Amino acid sequence: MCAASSTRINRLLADWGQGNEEAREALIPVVYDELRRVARRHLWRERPDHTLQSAALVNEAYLRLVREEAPQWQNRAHFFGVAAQMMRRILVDHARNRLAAKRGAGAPRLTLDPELAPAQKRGIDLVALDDAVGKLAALDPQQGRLIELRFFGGLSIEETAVVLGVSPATVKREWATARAWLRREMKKDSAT
Amino acid sequence: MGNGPRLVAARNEEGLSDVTPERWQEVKAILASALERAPEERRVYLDQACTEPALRREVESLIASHDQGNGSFLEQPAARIKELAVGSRLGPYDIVARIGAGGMGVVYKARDTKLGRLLAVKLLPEGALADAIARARFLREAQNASSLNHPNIATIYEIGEDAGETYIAMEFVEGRPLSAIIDREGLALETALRYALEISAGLAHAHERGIVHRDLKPANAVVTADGHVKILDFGLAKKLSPAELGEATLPANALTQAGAIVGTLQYMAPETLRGEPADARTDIWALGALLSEMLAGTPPFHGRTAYELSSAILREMPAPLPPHVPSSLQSVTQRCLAKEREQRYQRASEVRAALEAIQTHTTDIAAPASRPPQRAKSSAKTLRYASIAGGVLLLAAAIAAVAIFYPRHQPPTVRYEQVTNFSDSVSSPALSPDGRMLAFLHSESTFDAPADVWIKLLPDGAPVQLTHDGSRRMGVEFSPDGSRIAYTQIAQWNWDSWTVPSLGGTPSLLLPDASGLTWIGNRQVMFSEITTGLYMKIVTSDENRGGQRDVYLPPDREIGMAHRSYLSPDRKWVLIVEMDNRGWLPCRLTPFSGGSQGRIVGPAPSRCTSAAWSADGKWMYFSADAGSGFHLWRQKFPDGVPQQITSGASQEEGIAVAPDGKSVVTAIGAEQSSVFLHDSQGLRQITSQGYAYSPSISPDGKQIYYLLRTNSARAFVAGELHSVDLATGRDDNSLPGFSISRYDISRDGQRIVFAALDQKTGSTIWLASLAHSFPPRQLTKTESYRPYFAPGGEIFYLSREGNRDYVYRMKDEGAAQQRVIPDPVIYLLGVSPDGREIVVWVGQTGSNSPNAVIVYPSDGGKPFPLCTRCGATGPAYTGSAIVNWSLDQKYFYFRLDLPGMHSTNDSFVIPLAPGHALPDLPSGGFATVDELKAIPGVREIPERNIFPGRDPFTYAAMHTATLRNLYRVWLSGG
Repeated sequence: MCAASSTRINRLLADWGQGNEEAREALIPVVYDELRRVARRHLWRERPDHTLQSAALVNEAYLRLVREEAPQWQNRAHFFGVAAQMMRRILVDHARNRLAAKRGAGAPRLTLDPELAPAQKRGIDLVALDDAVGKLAALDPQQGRLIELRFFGGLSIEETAVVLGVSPATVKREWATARAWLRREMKKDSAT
Repeated sequence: MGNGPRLVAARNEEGLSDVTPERWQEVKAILASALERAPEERRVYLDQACTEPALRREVESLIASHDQGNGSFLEQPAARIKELAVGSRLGPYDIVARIGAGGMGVVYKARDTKLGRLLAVKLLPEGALADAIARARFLREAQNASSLNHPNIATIYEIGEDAGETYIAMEFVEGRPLSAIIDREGLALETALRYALEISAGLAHAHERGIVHRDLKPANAVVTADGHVKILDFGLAKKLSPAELGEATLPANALTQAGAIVGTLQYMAPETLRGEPADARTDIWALGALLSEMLAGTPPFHGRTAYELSSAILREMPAPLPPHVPSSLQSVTQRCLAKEREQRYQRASEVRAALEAIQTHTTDIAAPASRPPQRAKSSAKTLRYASIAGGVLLLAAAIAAVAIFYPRHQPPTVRYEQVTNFSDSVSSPALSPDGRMLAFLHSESTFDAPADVWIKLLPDGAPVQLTHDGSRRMGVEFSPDGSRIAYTQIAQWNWDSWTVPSLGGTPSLLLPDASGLTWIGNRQVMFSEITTGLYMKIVTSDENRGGQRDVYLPPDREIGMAHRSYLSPDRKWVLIVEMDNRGWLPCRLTPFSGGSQGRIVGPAPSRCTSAAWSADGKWMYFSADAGSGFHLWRQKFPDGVPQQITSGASQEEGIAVAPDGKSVVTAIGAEQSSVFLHDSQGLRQITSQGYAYSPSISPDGKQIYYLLRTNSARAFVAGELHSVDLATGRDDNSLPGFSISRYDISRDGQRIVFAALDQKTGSTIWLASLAHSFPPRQLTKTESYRPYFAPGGEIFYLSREGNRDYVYRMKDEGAAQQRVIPDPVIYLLGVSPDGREIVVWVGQTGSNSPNAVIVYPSDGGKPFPLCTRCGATGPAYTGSAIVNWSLDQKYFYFRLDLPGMHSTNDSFVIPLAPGHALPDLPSGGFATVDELKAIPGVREIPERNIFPGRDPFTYAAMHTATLRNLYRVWLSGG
């Protein structure tokens, strides 16, 4: 089924793996779209006509996930975990490259993708954040996942709660404490 | 918060960085509590919460970090869709408001500064038109579409560019999309017809000009305030994702190649799914799907995943339309939905003509009474909101999200009315087709147990007993004329369907090897048949097993057991209740036509024990335990969200739906189980609360351990470990936080090995110190359960590989995990104290006897049977040791279901020769109870669940009591 288009994401992933930056940039909106779409479909049990658009079809990875999906949260959680992780990798890799370009380590790339603009305008150094999230995850793996799902994956409090299998109140609490920790951690790093 | 008194200033973080995970948990708890308080209250809180200065510094530093972030740090996700600010300018348009976003980008309401009119502006997603060829294709089609001018098509005014942004300006349509209007009951017949006519008129206009929509769906058809339909996004049906544009960049023939799949899967024609180019007939298919959904309330094809759905579209017949739809309209719909284009209408104008003919006919005859009256009301009170061309997707999505997110917290309001008043337990309600007779079982169980069939005339008749022998029975069901009641009767390994006349009389065998039988026609039945071993499938046949065919085959051909089945009123679907070797599984929906595994319905994960359909087929009902005990659930067919109907401490099982659909009869009850100790002083009760099970006497005889059951959505039941000090009566929760399915105490009484259940990681094996000399250690990482201590620091247990359980052994620190028995087993029943004999329950594929209990010497010696035609009876979760030993291995305890045994409630104790773990067995194992009773020194103990102590007179036992009666549950809001 739709074999011609289904390889697109995988191709992009492979190209990105070989250092093709355009592939990475093309992946950002696709993966993000996909994440949101699947979030809506699986977490909100939305009627399919709102969500199951063509991107869902073209993503072989998605098809594989849903086909193998047993009716258990674990598998969904796994999907979101992987997708949010992928978003994190893509975004951080992008930021790292920009940084390198700025420092003259490579040809400057001026194609700023607007999807990234909010995070960068708000002065968030994604590379530093990535490091800090890594440290936090070592301290508290669940908080690491939570940051991935919320910030990189764009899931709401409620969605995150479903994925992590905890209450929204717990997510809120963990979210607040994790952010306080991360913010301090990043400040510490930038000071040194 | 900014103006509130700051608790602390930012401080030097030096010295605070050495935080361990444990320390962080401590810090985090205090920090979270502090952040939940108003800033001015935090100091007082910290004064009391932080006992050491370093801890306090750490928390204060984090509070400062939080306050500086003002709570907004990371609050916006890393990636977002590009937005235009209200008031900004795009080309000649002022942005007035954001309407929504869809696959095509964000849509804004805007004002044309030149003409002063309101319109919708759709901003294409960044990067969507990066490729020149794709861009050319898109713009050309949009230009074409802008030539369309028809009352049923939203007009495209302009495709423009501003500051590198591409946008489409189009007619601002105020109204609601069909996707928001159609609810699960569909639209009134004449309304659906009128909308379909208007859509076909719009399509006809476009098709005459060579323009195809390609993505017609309910979200793209908006009903305006004056009740007319406008089709949105004509000619814009390209999902401009980079992925798709990737296809367009294929060099060959890119401008005309429409192979990329567009549109919404639910409304995609088979040819689109095959990647063939769309034409006018593709739109006609979508019109058929839309019409079908307007009439039936749900789209014509269903699937839980994209894969299933597309497979249904390509291969399956569309779902049938409700009976009130005239056959002429049904055939128009069917023809639109023909799999092959050549078999559909070839032009939209033909559909239009056909619909016009029906409309003329229908408005004369059937219009006013075609739908129940509440339809109109529910439409009228639906949220009103303006939706504008193209911008409707997310609004609808947002509303749906709020409304349907697992609304188990807002169950429909229910009212209860007690129907039976037994002092013990009745279960398995069934209503006669006219709703005036209620049949049920007088049984302690909702499954297999000694039981008699009773009947009661509703509402006030006295209950009358129809069978009198207390055989093991389950599942009652009325025949279509109400004259007979069928039930499953179980004798050893035979599960047969019997009937008894409703007005009393002699029971007779209806079908051997048939359980869970229901009638699906006057002489047609559907039931569960044991094929080999444990495997049970659902089949249908006539009452003499004529014309038998399979309806559902559980995927696991060895341990899959489909016990119960319920046919939908339209005879298309079957709800299945099934289990595997670890217990009940979630319910399943499969096509009656067979050949499909179907899909899971109802709450999941859950243990689902019964299901039912509403009389109109629009609701599916379940009694299932999704983690809070067995309760009633319902779900709109086919893929609504499961809603919990009943809740509370008592549990509901079994569902009989009243013919009017306003109520269901269910069995509501509570089970209690107490642990007793038998010793030289006689029998005394040790526990008095809840469901206490799986007791064991500590090696020094001073304590009794037991599990106190907690609810679990998983296939096995678990509880918390308690211990009772026999001298003082003090009861402690010995391992708080662990949900334990089985445990074993070491011979020295110091350690405990147990299988702990976790919602996330499943069941794993842990070791803990009962004296708290070391923290609990996890020994296994993968699904594993039923651990037993063996000498030499070894632990035997079951480990799951794929869908099979294997007996494993390991060292008690978790090392050297290895398989002991090469073949999978159903269950591990026991391990002798010397570790030399392993007793397992195995299925016997190819045999008509489902069970055998086999003893495997752990040194690899030749296995031999304890019995080969025996039921390992009793719910395994009770922890009932079906085989067990006294700690010194001087006595062997067991209970087997053997021919000739009158009651399964007796256990036996056999003295053992020194160095032996088993008595001398007849070759081939025990075949009858007489052989068993002939063993020298055997002693019979009248206990069903016995747990040995030091001598055969000292043992723990469990006594269960169930209070359960039938209630009618009145539903509202259905």
